Formats: sequence, structure tokens, C-alpha cells
Amino acid sequence: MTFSVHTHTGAHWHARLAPGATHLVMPENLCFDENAMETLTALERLRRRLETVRVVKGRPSKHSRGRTRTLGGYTAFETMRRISPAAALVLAAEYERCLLRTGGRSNVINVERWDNSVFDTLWKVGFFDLVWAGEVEGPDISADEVVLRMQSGDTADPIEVDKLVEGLKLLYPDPVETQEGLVHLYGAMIEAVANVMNHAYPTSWAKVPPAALRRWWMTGAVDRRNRRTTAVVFDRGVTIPVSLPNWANAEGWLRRMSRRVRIIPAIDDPGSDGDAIAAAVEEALSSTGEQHRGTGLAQIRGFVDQCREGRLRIMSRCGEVVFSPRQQPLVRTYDVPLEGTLIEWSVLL
Amino acid sequence: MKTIRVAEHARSPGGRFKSDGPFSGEWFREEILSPALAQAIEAGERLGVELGGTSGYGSSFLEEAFGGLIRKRRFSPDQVRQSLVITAESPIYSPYRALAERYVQAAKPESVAA
Repeated sequence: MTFSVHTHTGAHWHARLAPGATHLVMPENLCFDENAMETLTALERLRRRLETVRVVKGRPSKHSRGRTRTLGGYTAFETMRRISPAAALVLAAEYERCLLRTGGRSNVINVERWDNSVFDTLWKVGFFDLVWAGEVEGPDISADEVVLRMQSGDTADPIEVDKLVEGLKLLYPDPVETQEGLVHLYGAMIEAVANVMNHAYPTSWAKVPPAALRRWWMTGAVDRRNRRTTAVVFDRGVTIPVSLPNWANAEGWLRRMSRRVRIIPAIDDPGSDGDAIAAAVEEALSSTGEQHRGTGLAQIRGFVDQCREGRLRIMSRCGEVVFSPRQQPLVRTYDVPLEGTLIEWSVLL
Repeated sequence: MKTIRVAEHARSPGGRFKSDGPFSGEWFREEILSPALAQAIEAGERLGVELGGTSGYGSSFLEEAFGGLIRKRRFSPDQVRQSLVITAESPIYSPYRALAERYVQAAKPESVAA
């Protein structure tokens, strides 16, 4: 089997897999909501692959042009039929980290075989700015679900958050109708981004990445048919369960954790991560303001209650908690870590 | 009563500290709010702060800007509670006004190291 590969120089060459080459097949549905375990597993494998990837920086040599090359491995995106905005953000963030770390772009192959909706979402989120894919044409922008271009940064830059929220506003036919919701979405998002800068990358962390990789990533999407707005913030930091023992409200969090799981797990034990996140949000909500720090989670959670209908998903290390107004939170702990924190609001404004 | 409109200084308020990025709560308190409040107190007047017209607020901005007036010992709790009037002309910003007022009520002067 041969593959078509496009390079940043515009060259187009053919490749075949080397004997024993590894390839990563992406799941049909890359979505934390509908296919969480397969999504986490695929992203984990992709992360490992990108950490060791040999990127192409230069033009292919004169002698190699026109020849079929041998690939040591590749990632098959053509198997995907759907990708959610949150999964697309995490995927693109991993490729941006690879670009920032190596200074070169990874090739993606067989783009012409990709599912249209997957291609559309990845195009809109800005994935093709981060990889070499040859000349590809942009998708149909009249689709029902419009995903905004990913933004990333290394400060709590309110201008970037504002840009994203303004982008969402423009997708609605009547911006006045959504003004209130978007003002509160901005508040929740700037708080999430500020939390990343203050807590996600402590310099005392043994695995703290180089300064250029201490970043947040975010995107937003509007499903115009259902009037549903999605906003997502992601970071590759220390994660909530690991940072909680040093949190301003750690004492109250520990009390709540001991009620939930009886024995408080060691910091490197992810087995109760779902409960750890849920207990932290409970503690932040019950804080009456006497603690001047550590109330950001309350605002991140509170925004969903201000909407007609909505849902907040917080995934961090192996834990996940989904909050909906007037319902008990849904708490899960997975076997595979996200290696970061994802906050996703999905609301009707 | 003189009124500061936050939107005229920071259309998109940021995080807590100056080190977080532009338009932080610390920046707003030090550069805009504290000097204006000091002037108002000296003149025996009250100072209004109108929250409307911005993109929104993070709670850490509000705590640092308003609660920080007391925590950082720039003003006494009584001075701030008697002289500062936080307003929200549009009901959209009422939750932020309530939050800012709560932070002013809850703030305690931080102890000073000997």
C-alpha cells in the first residue's frame, strides 16, 4: 500500500510503510462526550508519537524526488468520521506543541481520503497551519456547526479571550439576544485562562515544560441549527488533582475528599481524580469569600447555571466531572490520562 | 460624586496580577482605582465605579481590584465601605457588582511581616 505525502515545499511524493512500521489509527469518533476511552487512548498514543517524531524542515533531496519513500510510521486520520470541537482543540494543541518544541512541522498524509466533516473541523480550528499537508482547499463555511480558529497564549491575555467571544457573537443572527450570555462566558473564560497562568505550570513541578510550552489553547463553536455554543480551554499543565494539595482552599477540599473516598489517595494515584475535581468545585462554590484566592472554579461552574440550558465538563489527568444545572454532577475516572486540563462549556445562550 | 467607568480604562478586564497579562485587577487597582479613591476621600466625597460596558469580568480581577484595596492596606475597611459605590447600570453586570461588593465586605487587611 502506498500513500501520498505533500511537503511544505509543494512537492508531492509517494511512500510505503517500512516492515514493522507502527501506525496509529484514529478512532471513528474522536469525542470526549461520545467515545471518551478511545479518544483518550488515541490522544495518548499520538502524544507519544509526536514526542519522538522526526519533522521535515528542509526540501527533499534532489535524488529522492520522484522515488517512493519508506515511512517509519504514520497517523491515519482517514479512519475518523467525526471529531468534536474539544477533541479537535486537544489534537491541534499537540501538533502546536510539537511545532514549538522542534521548530518543524509534521506531515499529514492521505488528506484527500479524509472524511469531509473531519477535514472541515480541523481546517477551521487551524490544524493545517501546524502541519504540512500540501495544497488543500478550504471547506464549505456555510455548515451548521462553525468552529473558530484555535488561539493559544502564555499570558492571561484578555484581548485573545475577547476576540474568541466576539467571534462567537458574529455567528449569531441577533447578537443582542446573546449579549448577556457572552458577557458571562467571557468572565468564565478569562478566569479559566488566568487559572492556567497562576496554577497549571508551577516552577516547582518536576515536569514543568520549557517556557514556550507553558500555554493555554482555546476555541469556540456555534451550532447554528440548535443555537448551542461551545467554548473550550485546554492546558498541558500539572492538572487539577495534582495541584489541589497546594490550593488556597486545600483544607476544605481534603474534608470533602475524605467524605467521598474515605482514604485520601497519594498525589501520584489518579484512581480518585473524578472525585478530587468534584470536591474542589464543591469547595469553591461553598466559599463565602473569606478566602481571597481559589474561587475561580466557582465562576467557571456558575456560568452554566446562568444559561437556559448547559453543561460544563472538566477533565483533568484521569478525572472527569460533568455539571448540569439542577442535576447531580456526573463523576468519572478513566484509566488513561488526558495529561492536562480541559474545560468545556456547552450552553444554549 | 465622580464615577470611574471601568470600560473606559479596560474594555476587556484580565486576570489577577500584572504578571498574568494586561488589564489585570492589580493594574486597575494601582493605576486607576486607588488614586481616584484617595482623591475622593481627601475631598470628603464618594467615588462611583461603573462596571457596565466591558466584555465581562473574571472573579480574580474583581477580588484583586476591590478586595485588594483593603487587603493591601492602602485603605481601611471603613474608608472603602463608606466611600466606594459600585454600580451596574445594565442588569447584565449585576452579578459582577454583587461579587465585587462581596469581596469588599469579606476583605481583611493582610498582616505585615515584622
